[in-house]
Amino acid sequence: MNCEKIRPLIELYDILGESERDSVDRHVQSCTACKAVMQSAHAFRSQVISTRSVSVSLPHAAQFTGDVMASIQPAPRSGFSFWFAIRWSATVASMVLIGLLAFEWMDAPAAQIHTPVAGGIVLSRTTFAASLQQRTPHTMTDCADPLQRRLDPVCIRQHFHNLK
Amino acid sequence: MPPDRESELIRRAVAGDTRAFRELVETHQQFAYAVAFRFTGHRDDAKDVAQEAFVKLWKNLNRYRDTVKLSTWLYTIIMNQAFDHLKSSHRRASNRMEEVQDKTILSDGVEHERLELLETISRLSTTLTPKQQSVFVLRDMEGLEPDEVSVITGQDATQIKSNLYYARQAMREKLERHYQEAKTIRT
Repeated sequence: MNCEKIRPLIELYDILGESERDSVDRHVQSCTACKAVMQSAHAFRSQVISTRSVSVSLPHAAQFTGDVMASIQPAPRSGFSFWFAIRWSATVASMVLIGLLAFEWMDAPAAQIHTPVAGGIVLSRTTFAASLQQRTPHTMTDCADPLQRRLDPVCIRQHFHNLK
Repeated sequence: MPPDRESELIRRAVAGDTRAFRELVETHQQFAYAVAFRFTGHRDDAKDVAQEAFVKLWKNLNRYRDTVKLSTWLYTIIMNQAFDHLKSSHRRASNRMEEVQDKTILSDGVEHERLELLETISRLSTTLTPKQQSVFVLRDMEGLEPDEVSVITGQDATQIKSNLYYARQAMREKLERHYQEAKTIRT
């Protein structure tokens, strides 16, 4: 091999295979220019290798750990997002309660008829229907009026009766 | 740290256990700082890079597979973080050479010669291209085998040889020039 081909191999001597190293060794023995290059490369590599053992100690290691841990902690909730979360929680809770009441209204068994207490909350359709039957008809009822037709129990009862 | 213990800590940290992660940081922070220093040549930069690397490690820990060692994975993170840091702070420039010269003059006569040499070589290496610097630091300064360098940098054997060849040539010239200039300034 000539000098041109050997020079790059000299630079990479430490990672060469056995056959390539033999070629370099043989060439360097007979070529003073390449020998000088090899000595220079070897001197430089020795310098660099000598720095491997230098320990660069981390100053204030405990503080460093603390800084890293502070960086990975999730940010605390701001006041706005806290109240936002409370508002949403209240909304969801209300909707769940309304859902439960509606479920009770629709699915109450027919046998479960209670006498409604005056001023009490009517929770089932059957109880509500029974309460309508027990009521005396209102003298002022005018079921032609759209508002009364929707809200007055007598009109509602008439409506159910007509449906049957 | 025994590999089993490390695996357990990683598993716990992936599940969100910050105490387990803290233990991992405490175990590897010295190593991370030393590697970051070799890539940046500056103590403050090395600290920043190591810190950012651990934050990145925490964010990506669920992607870790134990087919590679944690230290190998950390090498990759630190290396990429160092390149980002050098790029963002515009430090990968020839003006770093001036800093090296100043440092040499100021610390002339101080006994930490090898530490100075390490600082000088590290800072000079930041003027190489990232690919050249990565193979030079990992192979020559850290003493890793070419296979490990390949895993960390993602370069194949041919690329490693090529980049190492140009890096060594450039570094030798830079170091010689640096000493000559320092000698001229002193006289």
